[in-house]
Amino acid sequence: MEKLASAKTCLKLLQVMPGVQQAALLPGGGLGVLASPLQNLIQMQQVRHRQTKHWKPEFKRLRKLKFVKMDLPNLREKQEDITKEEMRSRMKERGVLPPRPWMERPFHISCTGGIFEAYVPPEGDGKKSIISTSGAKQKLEFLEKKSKSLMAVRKIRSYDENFSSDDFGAEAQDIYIQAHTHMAAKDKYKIREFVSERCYPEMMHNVKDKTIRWKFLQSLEPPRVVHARVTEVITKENQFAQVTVRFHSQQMLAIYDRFGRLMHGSEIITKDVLEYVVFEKHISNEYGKWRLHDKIIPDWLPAKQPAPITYRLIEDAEEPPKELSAGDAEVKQVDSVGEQSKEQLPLATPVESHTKPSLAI
Amino acid sequence: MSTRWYPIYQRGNPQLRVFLPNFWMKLIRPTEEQPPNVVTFSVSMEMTKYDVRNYLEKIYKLPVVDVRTRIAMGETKKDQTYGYITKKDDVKLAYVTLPREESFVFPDFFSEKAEKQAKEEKSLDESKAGFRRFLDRNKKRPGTPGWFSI
Repeated sequence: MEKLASAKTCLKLLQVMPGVQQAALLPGGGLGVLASPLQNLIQMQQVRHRQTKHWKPEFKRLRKLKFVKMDLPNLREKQEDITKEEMRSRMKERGVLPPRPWMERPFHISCTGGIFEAYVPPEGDGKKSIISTSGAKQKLEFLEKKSKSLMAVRKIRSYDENFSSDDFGAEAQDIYIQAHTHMAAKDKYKIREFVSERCYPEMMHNVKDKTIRWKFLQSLEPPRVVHARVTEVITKENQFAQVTVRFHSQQMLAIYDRFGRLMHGSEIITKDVLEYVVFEKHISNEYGKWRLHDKIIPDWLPAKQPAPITYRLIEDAEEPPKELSAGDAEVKQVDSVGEQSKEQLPLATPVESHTKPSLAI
Repeated sequence: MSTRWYPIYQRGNPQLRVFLPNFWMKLIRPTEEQPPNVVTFSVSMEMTKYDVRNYLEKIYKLPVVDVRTRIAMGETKKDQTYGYITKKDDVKLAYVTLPREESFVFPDFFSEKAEKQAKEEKSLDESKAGFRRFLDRNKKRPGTPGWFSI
C-alpha cells in the first residue's frame, strides 16, 4: 500500500514538473532527485486570510450592535386588498386604537336602504291606446298586480286612518313639486321634510354651482297609485310603507353652469315626463311623513340625452355591448349639437323685435 | 380569615368554620391550545392544588382527575424617561384535567353583537349600492345633476 501511495505522488509530481522526467528514469538516483521539489512546494504553499477582518477586535460586539434590523412595511400594498381581520390584527400588534368616528354633526337615518319589491312598469306605458291589443293586455296585468297592493293599503290604513289610495295621488304630487322646487332653490334645510335620507344625495348631486330652472306646467294624466308595500325593519313593530305613484306631466327644465352657459334643457321647450316615483313613510312613527324616496326607471325607457359638452369616454373593456352604445352616444352628440344650433335661431328673433321700436322712436 | 397562618386541624380541636374565604378562581382563556378536557383558571395565590380540587369537587360537583398549578411571573417594564422598573403582580395559574369524556369550550359572548351590527349596516350598504348605481346611470352627463328624467 505504501508503495502505491508513493507512486501516485510521484506521478503527480512528474505532471507538475515535466523537466524532471529524464532524471526520474534513472533507477539509482530517484529518491535524491524528488526531495528538493517537495521542499519547494511546502515553502510556496499559500495561506488565505479573511478580508473583512477588522484591525481592532475588542469592539466587535459594539460593531454588531450598531446595525438594527427593522421590519420594513410593504409600501406597495393597497388599502382595499387588506381584509378587516388583517387590519385589526395589525392594529393590535402595534397597539393602535382604531380611529374614532368623527361625529361633528350627528345624523339620523329614518328610512330604508332601497325599494323592496320594486314595481316593474309595463312596456310602452303611457303611449299605447287602451283600445289596442297591447293596451288591453296592460289593463289586465294591472288588475293582477293590484290585488297585492290592496293588502298593503289595508295595512297602511290600520296605522293611518286618513290614507286613501285615490286621494294620495294629489298629495304625492304636491310633495313632488315641493321637493323639486326646494332642490332648484338649493334649500337644503327645507328639502329634508320632503325627501328621505336615501334620496337626498341623489337629488343634491352636482347641484352646487348650477342654476336650475324647473317648472311643473300641468299634469297630463291624474297621478295614480300603482303599487304599495309594507315591510318591517329588524323588529315587527318597526313598519315602513312604500307607495309607487305614476306621474305623467309636462315640465320645463333648464340647467345653467357657473358661467351662465346652458348645460341641459331649455327654458322654452316643454317636455312630457312619465315617472314612477316611490314615496315612503315610517308608519310606526306617530309623526312620520310621506317623503320622496326613489325613482323607478324602467329598462324600456329611451336613454337620456347625453351632455352637449365634450367629455372623455371611458370604455369598459369587460363588456363589449357597452362599446356599441358608446358609439351611439357619439352619434347623439352630433344630433344634440344640431339641435342647439336650431335653438339659437328663435333666441335671435326677439332681439330684432326689440330693435324695431327704437328705430320707430 | 388570616393569610399569614393556615390553621391545621388537630383531632379533638373544634372545627373552624370559614364563611368568607380569601380564595377566588377565575376562568380564563388559555394562551396556548389545550386538550378539550383541560380547563385553565387564574386562582388566588394562597390556594394549593388540593384547595382547587376540593373547591371544584365539593362546590360545583365536577369530576376532577388532576390539578396542576404554577406561578407566572408578572411582566416587568422599564420606564422610558427615568429608568425605574415596574413589575406586575405574579399570577397563579391552575390547569384542571377533567375525565377524558368531558370537554370544555370557552363561551363566546360577542357573537350576537356582530350579527346585530351586520343587520344594522345592511340598510346603509343598500343605500351606498343604490347611489353607486345612480352614478353609473349618469355617466354620460358629467357635471350635470342626474336626478331629472328629462
